[in-house]
Amino acid sequence: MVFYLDSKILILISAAVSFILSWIIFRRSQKNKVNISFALFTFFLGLWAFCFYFYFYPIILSRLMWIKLVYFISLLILPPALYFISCFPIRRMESLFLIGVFYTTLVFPLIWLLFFTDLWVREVIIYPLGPQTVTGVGYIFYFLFVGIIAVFGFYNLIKNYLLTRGVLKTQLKFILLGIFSFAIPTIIVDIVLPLISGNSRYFWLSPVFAIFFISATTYSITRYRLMDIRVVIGKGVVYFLSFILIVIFGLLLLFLNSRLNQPVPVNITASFILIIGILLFQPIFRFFEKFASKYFYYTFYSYQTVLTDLGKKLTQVLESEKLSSLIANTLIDTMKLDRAVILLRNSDGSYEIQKNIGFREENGISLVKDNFLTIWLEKTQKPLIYEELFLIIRDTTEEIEKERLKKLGENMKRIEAALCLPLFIEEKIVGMIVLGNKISGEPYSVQDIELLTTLSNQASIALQNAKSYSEVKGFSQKLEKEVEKATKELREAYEELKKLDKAKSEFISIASHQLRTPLTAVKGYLSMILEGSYGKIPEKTQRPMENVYQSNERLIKLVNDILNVTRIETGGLEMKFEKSSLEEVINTVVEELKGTADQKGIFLKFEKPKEPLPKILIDKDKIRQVILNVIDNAIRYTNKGGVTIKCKMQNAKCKIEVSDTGEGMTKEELSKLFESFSRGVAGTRLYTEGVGLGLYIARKLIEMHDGKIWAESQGPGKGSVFYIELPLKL
Amino acid sequence: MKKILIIEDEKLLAEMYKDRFSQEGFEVFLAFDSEEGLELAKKEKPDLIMLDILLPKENGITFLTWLRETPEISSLPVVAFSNYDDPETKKRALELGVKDYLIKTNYTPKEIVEKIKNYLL
Repeated sequence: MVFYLDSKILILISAAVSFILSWIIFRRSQKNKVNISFALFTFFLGLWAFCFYFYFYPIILSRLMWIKLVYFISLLILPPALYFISCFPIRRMESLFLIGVFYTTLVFPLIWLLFFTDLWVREVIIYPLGPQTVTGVGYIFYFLFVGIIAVFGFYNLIKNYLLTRGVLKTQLKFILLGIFSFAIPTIIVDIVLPLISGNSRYFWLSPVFAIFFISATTYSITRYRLMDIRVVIGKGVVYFLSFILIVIFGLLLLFLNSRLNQPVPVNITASFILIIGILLFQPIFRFFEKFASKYFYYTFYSYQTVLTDLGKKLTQVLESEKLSSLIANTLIDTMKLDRAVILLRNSDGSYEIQKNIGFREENGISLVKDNFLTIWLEKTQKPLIYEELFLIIRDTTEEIEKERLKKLGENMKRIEAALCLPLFIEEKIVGMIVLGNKISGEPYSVQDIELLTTLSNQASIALQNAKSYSEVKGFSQKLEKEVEKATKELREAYEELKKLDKAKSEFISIASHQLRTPLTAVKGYLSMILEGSYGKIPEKTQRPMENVYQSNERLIKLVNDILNVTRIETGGLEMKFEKSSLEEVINTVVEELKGTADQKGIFLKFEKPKEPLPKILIDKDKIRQVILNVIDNAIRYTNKGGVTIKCKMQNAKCKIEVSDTGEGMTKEELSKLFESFSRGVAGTRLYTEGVGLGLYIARKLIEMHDGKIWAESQGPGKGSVFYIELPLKL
Repeated sequence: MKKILIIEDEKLLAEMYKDRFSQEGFEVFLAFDSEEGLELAKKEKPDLIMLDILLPKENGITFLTWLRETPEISSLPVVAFSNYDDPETKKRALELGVKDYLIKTNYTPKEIVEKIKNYLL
């Protein structure tokens, strides 16, 4: 097969590119229908271009046949193209139905028109400038058929474009871009130019423009989705382009050689071209590789978008681990980096890894092993870029610093770190983001550094907030635990105390019981003896017996008092409030003690109020006990005269007054009258008979009624008055 | 003749009260613990039981529950008399229907007899 060497070779290249891409895409995923349809589409496009070439250089078959094949294949391109549009990015097969029906109904008549009539393609006329196809009226049907399908396709593509967001939108954008870069030049060379100048000789370029479309579409599909495809395609394209360039170069040399008057023999030129080709391949390959990597890995990120997006996200996250992941992932994704690590600095100056992607664990933190980097960054207040490090080293005059920087540079190279981004809060380093290289191998641009600096400010604030948050959270959790623990301890202590209290009160109950039993026996038998149950007792014995009886009574009272005091002090005394008449209580007490007063030869009188007092809420038994105690005391310490009891309402309180004409008291005695013997020396002098517990109990009982008890005396020998005041609780 | 059952573990006191109640013309039965008391109560069906609270083995409160669960004697009047002056116990005894809870030391046998006579009226 002989290939004619002129500009039409571009058509062949276009066809070859299409075939290669088709093959690669097909190889990558034979199960994905979208990919298969796209591969098929690309394949037909290649075939189409291929036929175009043969239309110009019909090695076999006629030009007429080739142009018919061109049209035929253009019909075949449509189904995969439509399928692709319907499935990408969102599967919407229902829209495909109508157009599918439209296509299948009309495609066969068109094929018939094409191959079996001359209504569409009539003949091919060879002009000096090239072949020209003469079309018939059938061409209009073809034009309309393709036009309707193209409009449908465009409409769907644009609709998809408007409906989708994010990455898919970007992909669709590239597809549209590809279509336009294919369609517009094609329209110009196929329609506009012939219309304006009648010149249709550039019509052959339309298959060449197909390359734009194929490239853009392929790029857009593979761009975000399948990184490995991209690498394969990238490599493929690079090899292909390098090869083609060398071939073109070689052919050009051969062509020039053939134009010479005395051409150099082909075997010499061929070997010469081969050597040059081999020598040139590497640099050309590198050139294309760089070119490809730029356009296959290059990431179009909008500064503002990344910043606002991340800023928005940063405010939504409070856990520092999530936050670090977010930052690291965003950086890696937007800038296409191979690795990143986020380090946070503790209050003691040490660092810990918050999030590590791609670095080896020990490498991630190795840069901050010594303090130098931290100090350096705090000094410079800006990111440290590996590629600038040698410039810094060159400009550093201080030897030690130079050495340290060199060491730092070596370390960065070893762990493949390209950039150290400090996180500052008020010029103090609170953390660091160490970034690896861009996958594309490109250096960090000025724009990148600006973006990173702004981002690091946001990140450091967010990370600091997260740290405070977690600290506060940890603290409150700790506090909660402490409180819980303390509460538990308190509860236990309380339970323990309650047990102790119960034990104590039980002990007192038992002890008093044990004390009382012999006292009961003494009291019982003595009383029975005194009553004469065991025969009349001699008169001489009567009095001593009574004395024994009285002493025993005192002991009994003492035991009772001790029990009462214990009850009061351990809170074990229960109050039983009921509405009662104070007058009645006083009456019964007076009745009870009348005999005792009579025996002493003193008077005991109760001056009742003119109007009866209202019934009030009291514990009757306890108030009775108090009144009995007070009157009993009064009688006991009064040897002449007597005891007068009054009772009245005063200031909305019930006031009981017990005045006697007895011994009276000093001020000091008065002050200690109502104290327990455990607290002082209450009444030791005068109260020879008792230990004064009675009045202490009285005070406690009255206090438990929210009342007051006190005594007044003009001094020794001048008698005393006891007052009891109870609130008017109805 | 009225029957009195005295359940009292302290022999000295039991004898003393027996003497005093006998003098007053009561027929007195003595029991020294709850089980014995319950047996005697079933057997003799006394007019009133005088019950000490702190007793060997089962205490007076247990006796009261037994008594209230024994149909033929469940409604016998009981007067608790004890030197064990514990509010909880007192409350429990009153709940179980004792007529009174007397502290022994606070009364002479004579006074106790008077009180019992009142309850038997």
